[in-house]
Amino acid sequence: MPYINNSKGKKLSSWPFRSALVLTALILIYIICPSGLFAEEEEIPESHPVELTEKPLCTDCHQKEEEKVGGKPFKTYNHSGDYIKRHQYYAEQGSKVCQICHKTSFCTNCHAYKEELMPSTKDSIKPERWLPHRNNYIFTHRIDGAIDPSKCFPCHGRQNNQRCKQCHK
Amino acid sequence: MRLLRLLNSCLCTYFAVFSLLILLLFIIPEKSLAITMQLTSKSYMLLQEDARDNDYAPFYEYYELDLKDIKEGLISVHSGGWLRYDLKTVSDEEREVDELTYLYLKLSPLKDKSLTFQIGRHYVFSGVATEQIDGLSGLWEITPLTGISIFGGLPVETENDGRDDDYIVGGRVSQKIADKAQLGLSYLKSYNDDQSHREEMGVDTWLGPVDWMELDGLSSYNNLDNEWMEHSYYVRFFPMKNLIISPLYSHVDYGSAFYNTTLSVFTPEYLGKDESITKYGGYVEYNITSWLTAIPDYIHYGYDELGNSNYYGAKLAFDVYGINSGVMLHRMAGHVKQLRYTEARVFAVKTFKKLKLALDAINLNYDEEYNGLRNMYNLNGTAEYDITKYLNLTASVDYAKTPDFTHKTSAFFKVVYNFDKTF
Ligand code: HEC
Ligand code: HEC
Ligand code: HEC
Ligand code: HEC
Ligand code: HEC
Repeated sequence: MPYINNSKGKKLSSWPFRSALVLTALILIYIICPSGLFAEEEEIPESHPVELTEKPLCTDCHQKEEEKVGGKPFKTYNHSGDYIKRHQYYAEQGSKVCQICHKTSFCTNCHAYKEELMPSTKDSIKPERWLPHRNNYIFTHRIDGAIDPSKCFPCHGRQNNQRCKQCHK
Repeated sequence: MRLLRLLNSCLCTYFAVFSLLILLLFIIPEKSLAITMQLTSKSYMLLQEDARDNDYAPFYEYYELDLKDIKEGLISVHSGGWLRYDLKTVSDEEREVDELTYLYLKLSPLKDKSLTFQIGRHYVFSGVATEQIDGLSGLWEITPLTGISIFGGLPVETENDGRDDDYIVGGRVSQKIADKAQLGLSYLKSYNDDQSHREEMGVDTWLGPVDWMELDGLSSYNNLDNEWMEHSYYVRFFPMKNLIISPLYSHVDYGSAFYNTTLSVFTPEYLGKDESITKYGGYVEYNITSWLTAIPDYIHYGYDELGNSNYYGAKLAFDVYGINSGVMLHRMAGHVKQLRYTEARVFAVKTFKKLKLALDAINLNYDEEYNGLRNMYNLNGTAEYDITKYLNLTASVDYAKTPDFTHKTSAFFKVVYNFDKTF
């Protein structure tokens, strides 16, 4: 299938060609980036030696500024104030650091594809997360959803939306 | 691609995973095996009433199972899923629903753990990809500075309409530049029923050139409609030990970002053709004393079609008398009437030896009336009690008063059971 028509009806070039382009670009960039700039090798453990239950400020315990995890200073990972708005960047950067403290179930608690219970319901003992979904959400979501649907899309755009289809087709 | 099609049956994948697992158990010399098993069961019971006074009582059982070879850390198995059964309902839909959220085998064949594979149903978080797949993914840290990850298999998100001719492939290369920067380039391609479903590319960035500044960001491009989907950037300045200033910027083009959505509210017909959102503003986090933190914020929402709006206010977090509490007050000042409201929230959490109590109240006051009502609130009270180290109980009540459901009450019970064993 050389040409693909998308919903807007534009003609697009074949995807193997694009993939090849992307791959070449990736390889090029890989070659250009000097791997000679070696950083010190640091060990990321399987699990964190100390079990933590509250949102941690890494720098409370890891105070040496020159120490790094995954190439970043400890303060980067401080779970302070706006952490919930920031965690996606670390996840997207493929961080192995998250796994030393978080099991997959921790993430899927909020990010599952067919999930029927709202994160704020399951963990109502943790209001410090400031999660918006409460019992009132069937009403208030109209406003939140109109303001910024791009926030909702990752969780409801292509999955986890059986409930929504009761009102939205 | 034919190979992927071969994988096109769920059963086949799981069978493969377990044969591999058993094979590995034979390969690894018996003496080196020390396996820990962690099993968690979470049961939830929800009692709810709808606007017409119909009662609902769904029961949910969630499990999480992790098996780890602790000695060598070469191999581990992880699984999680849930099942719902309606004890009481008026709806004539299925009473029973379940989901296998993940079931995968993780292998780290090299001593320094620079190579890992995951096989089975699992999540891939890698640049543009935040996917649940049935398949294989691998990460190889070629040097401490350079990494490559790839994945392929069947996407779970297109499961609903059958899985014939569905597949997903993608990957990411990443490069660190000393301890000052990290760059990632990622790619994702998925087919649903032999039709292009998504094709995305992205650049993710982390910069920490000086100790007082950091930047995180992601830009993603939709290859199917040749348009940038999203740019989102987040900077943090650390001018003092107790102060963080974080400006942010993001731009999302609805048409390309919500490509191939399965929900009408995300389509251009609903949101407006060519609509996009530009957000900028930021947060300040100021630890005034050891027990008081203030987080004022301001966000500007700009649209191509809808009128703009501004959201501003602050959160205060206290930690006094062993009570962890927070207060929040915000104003949304939009051009459209629906986007003008004041939002307030207060919570408090107190932990005793084995008992934890939490109270949470939300109030929204709209400038415009909905069904003759301008105010909406939600109250929640929750108690958690640790019976033993392995068993804990939670009970929660929630009361909401909104313009459409004059009121809604629900109660919620949760039992968590943990089990650990080393073989
Ligand atoms: C309550 C104190 C405490 C907090 C908070 C804490 N850690 Fe640790 N962490 C420790 C201790 C103790 C060790 C083991 C001692 C050691 O090896 O330095 C450790 C070890 C580690 C290691 C192993 C490598 C190393 O440097 O020793 C990593 C990686 C790590 N922690 C990451 C983090 C991250 C990331 C955070 C924040 C999200 C964090 N820790 C928060 C106490 C803490
Ligand atoms: C040193 C251990 C440690 C590390 C490393 C760590 N976390 Fe956490 N994280 C925690 C703890 C403890 C909590 C609080 C747990 C809870 O609320 O149940 C938490 C909470 C969170 C939350 C919920 C935030 C909220 O507002 O309640 C998110 C999201 C999260 N972590 C993501 C991540 C990501 C992504 C990474 C990898 C960059 C990561 N964490 C690394 C220990 C850690
Ligand atoms: C307390 C609920 C919660 C937990 C736990 C949580 N997240 Fe998130 N996650 C969110 C919310 C809410 C957003 C949207 C954030 C925003 O834009 O403000 C999000 C966004 C994301 C995104 C970007 C959106 C997307 O899907 O592409 C990624 C990636 C992500 N989270 C990964 C993770 C990972 C990995 C973990 C586990 C370490 C995790 N999250 C744990 C609530 C959570
Ligand atoms: C981190 C993932 C995540 C994000 C981000 C998210 N949601 Fe949800 N939402 C859920 C989950 C999980 C549920 C429970 C499943 C369900 O009811 O379908 C839920 C439930 C809902 C419900 C049903 C509430 C009820 O009482 O039944 C609405 C409405 C909703 N979300 C709207 C939104 C809107 C609007 C946004 C964006 C402002 C949003 N959600 C963002 C995960 C998320
Ligand atoms: C009980 C019915 C109901 C359910 C269930 C429901 N919604 Fe809505 N939703 C509405 C109504 C009514 C509106 C306002 C429609 C309007 O303004 O045109 C709305 C508006 C929205 C909007 C804003 C659209 C806009 O631009 O005005 C989004 C986004 C949205 N809903 C997402 C969701 C998601 C995601 C879910 C499922 C998690 C969901 N809704 C479930 C009734 C519902």
